[in-house]
Amino acid sequence: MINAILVALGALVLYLVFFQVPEAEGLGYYVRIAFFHIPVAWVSVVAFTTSAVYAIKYLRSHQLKDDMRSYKACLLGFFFCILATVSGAIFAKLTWGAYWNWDPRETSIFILLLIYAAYLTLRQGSMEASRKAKISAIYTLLSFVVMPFLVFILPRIYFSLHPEPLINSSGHIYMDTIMIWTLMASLLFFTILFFRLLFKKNYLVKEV
Amino acid sequence: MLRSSLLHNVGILIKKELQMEMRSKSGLMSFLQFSFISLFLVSISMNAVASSMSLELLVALFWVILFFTSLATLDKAFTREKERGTLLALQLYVPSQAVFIGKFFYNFLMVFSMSILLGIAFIVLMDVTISYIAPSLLVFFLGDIGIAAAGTLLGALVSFSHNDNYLFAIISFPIFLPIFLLLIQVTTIALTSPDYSFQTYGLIVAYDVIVLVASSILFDYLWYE
Repeated sequence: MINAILVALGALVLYLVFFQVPEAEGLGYYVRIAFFHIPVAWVSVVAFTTSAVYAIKYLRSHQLKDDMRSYKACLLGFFFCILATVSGAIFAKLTWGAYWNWDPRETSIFILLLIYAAYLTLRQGSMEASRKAKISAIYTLLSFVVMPFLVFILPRIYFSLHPEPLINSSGHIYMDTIMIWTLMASLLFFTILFFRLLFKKNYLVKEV
Repeated sequence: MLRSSLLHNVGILIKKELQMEMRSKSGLMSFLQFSFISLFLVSISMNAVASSMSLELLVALFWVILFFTSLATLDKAFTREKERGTLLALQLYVPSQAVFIGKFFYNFLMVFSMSILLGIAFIVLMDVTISYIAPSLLVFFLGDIGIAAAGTLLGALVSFSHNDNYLFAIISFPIFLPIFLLLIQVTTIALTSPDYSFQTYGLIVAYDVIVLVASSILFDYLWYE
């Protein structure tokens, strides 16, 4: 059932992106990358939040199942974060002329990548399962409370090249209707995909 | 009763940390050497252009050196306990919050004294002119609280894990980064104007409060098996 929805939604997104979305001003058809780039960046943040939620659950319940879920969310998040970084770098090269220029959002996604990498490093080595789970949960939660500084505050201090069609202080949305719908469909598709993979049995991590 | 015993325990712990520091001098000495070597390297290699370096650049250099020094040394408060095999005894006899506060104070004293000493070294070697002393001390004070708080919890995490030498640097880098970016911004302002507005210091205070509270709560979960 959920697979069918995913396939249908995926096909719809592809159709919209390649046949319906008009050329954007200043971006041309490169704008198509945005419908991949924004959703995967969104999912890497959703994954981080999910991991934090399961980390709290673990610290309360001490059930290794919750730790497994938290770990899996981080693994998936790491993967989506790499996709977001790479697609963003390509997008930046095409539109701004350089792969990387420490734009605030580039900085924050880079730090998110570092957090994921640090989390995975912390889990290396042999430890009791319960101790490993506890340490990982604590690290996830500490980095989670620090994350708002990177995502919401640094972009306000440093000058950004990113357009702010969706996240801005005035709450206006500067996009065509068709683009908004395509973006929403794509966001929905990647979010469902993430949770589908998260709850897929024995995928990436052995079920506890 | 509970309150006084907590204060009592914290007092004993801080005294113990300082005594151990006085005996071995390992913490502050490695801190000092590490950061002074970095500063000498910067000073020697940039000698030709030193006079034309802007204040922003010098401030950034200052925090980069302090950043790496913290990454290299702040875990010592806990890993030292582990190396000596005293971690378990501490865990058995001392309540978690007393340990957290004690170690936090020790770390804070280390970073704060380091900031001041390194600041003086910058004045001497890099010819930095500080127009206002008080705001600069305030920036150090506020910034070092956040660094020490995060460093305390992360150091404890490392001592509870497989204790890789580089682990502390790896896991603390992303946590420290926001406060360092903020500090670089705010220090430049503080050095040139007596500005005590909330707009300037608010974010650093927010980071301090959030990290201190979160670390203190999470430390409980770490400390008790």
